[in-house]
Amino acid sequence: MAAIRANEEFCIGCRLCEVACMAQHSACKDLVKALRPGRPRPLPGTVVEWEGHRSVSISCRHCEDAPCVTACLTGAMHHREDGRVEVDREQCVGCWTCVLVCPYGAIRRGEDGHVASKCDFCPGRERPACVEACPNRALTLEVEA
Amino acid sequence: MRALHHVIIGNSAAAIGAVESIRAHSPRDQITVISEEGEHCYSRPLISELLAGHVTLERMRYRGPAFYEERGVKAILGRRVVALDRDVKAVTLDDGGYVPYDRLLLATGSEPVIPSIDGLEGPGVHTFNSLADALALAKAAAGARRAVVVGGGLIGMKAAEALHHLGLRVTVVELAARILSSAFDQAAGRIMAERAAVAGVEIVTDNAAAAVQRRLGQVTGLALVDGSELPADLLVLAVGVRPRAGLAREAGLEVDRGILVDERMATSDGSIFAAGDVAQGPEMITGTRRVLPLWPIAHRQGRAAGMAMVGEPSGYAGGVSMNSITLFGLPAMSAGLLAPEPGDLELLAAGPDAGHYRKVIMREDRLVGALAVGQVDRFGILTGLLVDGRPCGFLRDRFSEPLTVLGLPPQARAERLRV
Amino acid sequence: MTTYTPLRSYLPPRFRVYRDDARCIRCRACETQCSFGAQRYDEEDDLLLADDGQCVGCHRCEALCPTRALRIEPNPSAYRENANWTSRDIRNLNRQAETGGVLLSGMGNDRPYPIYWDHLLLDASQVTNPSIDPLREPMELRTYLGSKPDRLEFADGRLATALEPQLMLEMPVMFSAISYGAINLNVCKALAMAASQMGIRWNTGEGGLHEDLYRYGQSAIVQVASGRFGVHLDYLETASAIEIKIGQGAKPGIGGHLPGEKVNEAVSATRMIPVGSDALSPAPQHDIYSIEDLRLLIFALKEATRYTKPVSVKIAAVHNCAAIASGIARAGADIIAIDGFRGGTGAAPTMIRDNVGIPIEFALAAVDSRLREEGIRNRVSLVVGGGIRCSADVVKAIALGADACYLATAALIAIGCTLCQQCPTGKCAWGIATNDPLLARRINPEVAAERLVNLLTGWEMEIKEMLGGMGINAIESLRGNRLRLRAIGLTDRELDILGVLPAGQ
Repeated sequence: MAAIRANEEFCIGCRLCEVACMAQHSACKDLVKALRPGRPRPLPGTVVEWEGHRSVSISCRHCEDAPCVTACLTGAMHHREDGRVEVDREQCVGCWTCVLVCPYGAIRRGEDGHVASKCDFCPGRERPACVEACPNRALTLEVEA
Repeated sequence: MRALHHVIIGNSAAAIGAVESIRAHSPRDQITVISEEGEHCYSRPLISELLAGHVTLERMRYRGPAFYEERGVKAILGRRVVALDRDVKAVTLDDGGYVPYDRLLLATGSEPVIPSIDGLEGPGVHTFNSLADALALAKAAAGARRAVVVGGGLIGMKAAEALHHLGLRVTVVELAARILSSAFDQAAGRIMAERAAVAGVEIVTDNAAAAVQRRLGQVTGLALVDGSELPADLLVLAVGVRPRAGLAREAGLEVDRGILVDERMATSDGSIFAAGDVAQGPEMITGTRRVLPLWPIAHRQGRAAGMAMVGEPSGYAGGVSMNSITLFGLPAMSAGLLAPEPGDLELLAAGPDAGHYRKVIMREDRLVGALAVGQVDRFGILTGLLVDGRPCGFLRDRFSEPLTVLGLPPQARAERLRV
Repeated sequence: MTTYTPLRSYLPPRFRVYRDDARCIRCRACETQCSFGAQRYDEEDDLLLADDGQCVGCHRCEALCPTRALRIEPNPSAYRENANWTSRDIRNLNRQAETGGVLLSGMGNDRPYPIYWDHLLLDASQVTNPSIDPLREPMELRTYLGSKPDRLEFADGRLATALEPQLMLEMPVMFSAISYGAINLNVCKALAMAASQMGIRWNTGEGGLHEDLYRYGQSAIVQVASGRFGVHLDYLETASAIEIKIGQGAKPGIGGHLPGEKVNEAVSATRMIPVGSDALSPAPQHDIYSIEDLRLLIFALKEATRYTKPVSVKIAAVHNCAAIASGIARAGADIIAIDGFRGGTGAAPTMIRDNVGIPIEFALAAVDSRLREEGIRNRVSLVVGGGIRCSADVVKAIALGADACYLATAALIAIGCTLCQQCPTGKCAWGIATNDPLLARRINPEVAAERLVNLLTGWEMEIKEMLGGMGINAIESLRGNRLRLRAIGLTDRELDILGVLPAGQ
């Protein structure tokens, strides 16, 4: 299964990955329209974290043996057919047990207080939006040989 | 090798974990699930959401409607196992039914502890452990105005929150000096209690139920051991749970508080396994065997048991206590120990608001306990470090804020960034 | 005791930041990317605000803005037009009045002196000597830099003459000297990677050779400059050639200058100087006070490396460079590198950068002619640099007499440089002329190397097209072939010096 590699050496902290993710997961995919100030925007699935001058963008690893899937109280967190880990938004109740167990801290509490928010690996795209948007190849797609 | 017949007593987190891992490794083996409850497997922790009206019955389902059929699982629902014959390797049901097994999983869960006080018989007194309990309580709450919840643990507090949401006036009576004592420490418990009080739920600590007061058969109040009385027309008993290990005890398996199992979830009988609330299995911090009645642990143990039942290694080394709860809008999480032991280092941070509190407990350089109220973002990074068991000296300067992967020491960081 | 506040600047901002609020999505990329403090996010009002006074016109924010909401423009509030006292003059006078210091700039001379490449035009075949199609026929761009013997002798059908060490280049360009410290390791790696991949060379400049770059030693030319920064035996042994730097085009007559802000731990270790100290190379090499001294150093280096590596001598293009070059050739150099007055730099006094030196076109023509007249042209290869902008410049340079061209500014532009000339500050927002780890990571060597390889690949094809158009299939046939050039808009004197006929003749 292909995976996103985050290279902390070359992340420039521009957060264009977050912008691209939010645009991709908005109803209207146009960058300007989707992210107009004042309009509600989805939480990005990849988030840039900082330590001094270093930065890197962290997203869900779509683990085969995902602790969040095991821990999920409602069965909302599950593996899709393509192997990716996905949140069933209708089923999630916002207990945050997934946030409790994810060792990458890759799951965020949705602002509505209900739905766990994380990377869904951009279903339908050839390459995740964050990887395409990164101007310095700090996010690359590792495919199996 | 011929196909095995796996029998699972129970239909909750552990049972489903076992079903899934057995089926993942063996398309041919037979699986039978026997459950006292008549429903499709459901998320037990959601009963408080159901009570509050936040979820429908439909959403309570833990897996898809065709779960059993899809996996070729025979589900005997609404039947209780009354006897276990280890020599013959078979269980007997309450309707006389007889089910032989090659491997047996006891995932019978836990049952509520009922305090031995007067006046319990009759309407108006409810336990809060099952879907049936929740439906009954919801119905009773519709016509009630004042409720008293006996027990300020996780179950009691969630019940109290739900009843409050339904418009009842609620008082919680807790034996210990603090609420949520199984999951949070003194300081966190106090913050959560204050939050509940601000929301309008009364918390009474250092007290216990003495007797149920009735008039004309209806509940009118609860007398407490200190002599005071709380008016009420509805009582919820949530003082604790205990493993439902009766069958195992009668069958002569090694049972302490729960059914004793190793890291393969195997009991003292090589063909019998136990998982979930009923099991007493390896706990990673104390290195002893403990009952960890928590949904994620139960499911993980069920998976480990299933692997062992088909003869596969599961890589399960044990569990740790871990909790995530949101009460009256305030989230809180904990993992591992709640209090330091002699020699441990306990580091606390509070603020900036009254509702924020974070704590870690270090043993030498190992993280053995972590807790956060309010600022719970990315708590899983702490849980991961606790489970890893590797040196975490850097936490001393970092624990008061959510962690980052970048802030971890090089080896831990490299492992997490590796593809 | 009266205390005085620092002098207030009278200068308006040089640039204005225009932001289209309808397109701005408050992503704050401009804020993170601006290293000069010109962009700021106001949390309370949810607005991005610009401080024009800090903007240096590097366009980094504009390039990374995901919605193209930004426009960086020269400040339209200009002074009243004055052909003698331009805005530039007014600004420079004010800055010196405020600071009392030497005006410092980065990159090369930006004044409007004539560009002689643009007065030279190439030939193309028409009826006789038909063109060659580079897509269908083999073309040889490979060239060898080094001393060529006076005559060749053969025995048994094999070459009997011993050859001096040569540098084989797959195309007639190399990356010129850019010192580690002026740029960071990521840029050095990119240059080294691209040079290796394209079969050319890169030059360490006077920054020494960082240990991570030793693996690219085979494609490196190491410099021995007046400060002798980082010069030790391994340094010399690892490289494929050694270059003695007498001068550089951006600042003839003075030495290299790396401001102390840019000397961090790694730069300090590589250059062998204290952290934070200004690395000011002496103006002359203090052991070279005559051409004989130069000969001594050339042969000392050859002895130290057992005559296995060509030794190059780099000079700035100045008035008497023909005579100087002749001396250098006779002193035993294998390669002479001439750097014209457009040459770039990490830091140079503006007055020197803009007023000292001569155009490379003249220097090249003069040196090539002089060496040919003296019958010693074969003793050295000539490499020229200083504002080579495109493949046409390369072809013209070769026709004028060069063996190869040195590229530096062009390479940096290819990886992002926008010539904002702020190199001496060490705050390069493109992550090139800075060692600040926050900024240096903006150059991912793999990305930059890919861009450089793309650039050279494009130029390689273009050179082949131009050669083929002239009916030439080997670069050696173009060298010094001034008849393939014609000039437009030049005086007779200029034509004479360049040795080129006017168009129409």
